[in-house]
Amino acid sequence: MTLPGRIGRTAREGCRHDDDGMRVGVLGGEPTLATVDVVSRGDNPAGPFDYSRKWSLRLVFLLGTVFLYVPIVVLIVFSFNDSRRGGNVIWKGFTTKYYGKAFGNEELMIAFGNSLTIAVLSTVASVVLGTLAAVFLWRFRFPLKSAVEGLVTLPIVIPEICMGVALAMFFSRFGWQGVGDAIWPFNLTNIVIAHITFSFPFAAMVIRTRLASFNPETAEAARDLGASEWRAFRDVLIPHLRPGIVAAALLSFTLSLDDFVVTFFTSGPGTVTFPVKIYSMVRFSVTPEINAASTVLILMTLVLTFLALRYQRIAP
Amino acid sequence: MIASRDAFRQAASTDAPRTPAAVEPLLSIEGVSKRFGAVEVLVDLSLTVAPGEIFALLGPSGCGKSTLLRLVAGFETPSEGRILLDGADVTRVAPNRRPVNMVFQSYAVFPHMTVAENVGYGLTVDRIARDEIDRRVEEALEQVQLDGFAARRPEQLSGGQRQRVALARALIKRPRLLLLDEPLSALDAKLRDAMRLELVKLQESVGITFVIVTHDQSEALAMADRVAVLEGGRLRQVARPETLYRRPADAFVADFIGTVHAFPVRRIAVESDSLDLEVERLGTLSLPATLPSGCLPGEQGDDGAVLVVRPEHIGVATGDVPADHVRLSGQLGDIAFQGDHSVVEIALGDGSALSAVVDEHTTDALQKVGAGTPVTAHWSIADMNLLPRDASASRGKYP
Repeated sequence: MTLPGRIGRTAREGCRHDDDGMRVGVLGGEPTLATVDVVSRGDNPAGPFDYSRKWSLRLVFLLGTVFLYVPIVVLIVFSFNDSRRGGNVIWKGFTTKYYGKAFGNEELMIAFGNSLTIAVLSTVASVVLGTLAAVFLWRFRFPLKSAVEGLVTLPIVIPEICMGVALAMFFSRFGWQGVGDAIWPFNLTNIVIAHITFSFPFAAMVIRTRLASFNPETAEAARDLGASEWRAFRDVLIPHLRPGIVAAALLSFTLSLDDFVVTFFTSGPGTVTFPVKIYSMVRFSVTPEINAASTVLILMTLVLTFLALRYQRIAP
Repeated sequence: MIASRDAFRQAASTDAPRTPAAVEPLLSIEGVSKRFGAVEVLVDLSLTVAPGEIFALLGPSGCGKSTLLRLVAGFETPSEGRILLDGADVTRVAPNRRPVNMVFQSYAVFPHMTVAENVGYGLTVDRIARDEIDRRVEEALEQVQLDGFAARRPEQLSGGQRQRVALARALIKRPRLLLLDEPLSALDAKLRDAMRLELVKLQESVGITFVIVTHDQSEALAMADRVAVLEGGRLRQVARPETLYRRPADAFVADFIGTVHAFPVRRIAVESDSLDLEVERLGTLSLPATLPSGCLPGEQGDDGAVLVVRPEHIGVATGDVPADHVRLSGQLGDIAFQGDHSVVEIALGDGSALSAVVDEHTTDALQKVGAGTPVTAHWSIADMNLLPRDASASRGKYP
């Protein structure tokens, strides 16, 4: 029960913190709840648990987290499982030998190399195309502009499987399917093109967000002071976009590294990527080697995403 | 009739700039129009700016003054007309090739560069030697009282300081013309007054021609040598501040600079040495031929003109009034005390009200008699202006 007239006095009399870190007022020895404490104050931003003391809400949150993350945690834990047969479902003992096996698996390492190559090439191209697209749409007005905007956003919206099939058909039509015989890295061309296609809209989106905070008068000021269009772009716009470009690059890299569906349709026997290789390994048998490989992939993605978020936060 | 028209024309003042007429104008805008799609932002505008003067473009929001500035800077191209700088046609010249620099409304200081790098940017682009740049940057910073700020970053500066960086950055290139877009609007009142003085002093020491865009008439009047009043994309009048105040060219200018009371003129009869007017609420008045006016008689017909007077020129009397003054009877209303003067409201017989600005002495006298007392508002006919109601009859266009 709260006694509004007494809250001030409550605060002065002193208060203690209960287990949830909420300030509980003490009035004449009886603990009372000052309603003001539920909202965030000063240095303590309101966390999920502060919004309600209702157990039902907390339970829902817990269940959701569990549902999402427990499978992944299990995957990681079982990569250390000492079990060769019978699937990787019963814990037999701790070992790191499957990490060794994974790193020693030549086909797997080639696939990993392919994935990295594709990711780097795809990222560079996606960021360049994405920046150009974003600046172009931001700067110019022209007929059918909304159609062009739609086209740029389309690859995000199209179901990956449709995209995969379409690309496979495209490449077979243009006879590039046989490129599996070509030397590295040209044999990866199909996949790189496919990755660029679905990556650059995301890059464009990230950069467009960053563009929204750009004061166009800054670019005009540069021109006014004697800079050519290109110089103004280079000296003023690019520095402003840099956080967005870095974020776009990290995003594109992650998308490319993790991609399965589109890659599955555009890769061939000699051009296997890491996720595709893991998939084919699963079809044989489920050993902790696969868990180990997957864990490495998860870790890489985590680190990159973490870096992306950190960079975006520290940048002005 | 013709003789009278001549008399009126002669009495009109010509508003040449302070520099001798023989000097070639620095900036010449000839018949410039600008359309954005179907919207006409500027219509057939012509004016000149003399070297060394502070020229203001004044008008309400949306009148096209900022567009005109951008046309001069080179960020837009006119739909019609020409822009000449030092006699050369720069209408289609890119902004980076014009000897014109601009201080933007948002200052547009480069956030990722230091103050020194900002100020030196224009010289870096011109590929001037490093040590020369450093020397000139130091000079420029001193000029705007920012010495010692070279290594600071824009986010560490206040608004006023950022503006000075923008100023230094533009002036370091020694342009022929400096454009300023609403230079004082983002500053707080006290800083505004200080900056206004600083800008005028800076212009005097540097000698560069300034063109300032503003919507604040007191700013324009205080700073500029000449002011161009724009409205709806058209030039209404170009004149010295004093002339704009005393002899506005039309009803819009009269009301935009300060305030006026306007009395519609029903009929104008031209006599040999005067104009006989039939004016609403004031009756018949006779304007002497020697009085300059904003419009020429007979050119706009009946009901096309107004007679205006400023509250500052209206006196409020309880008793006698000079015989040759225009007068209106009413009742004393609210007195708004403002210190050295007061704004007095006079309720007229027909329900309308007149405001008059009176001095301390008169305020005392009026405060003693109290509201409701019959009083007479009066003013000299010489303080009145005969103006066209409609803009097209305005003779405000100057070459």
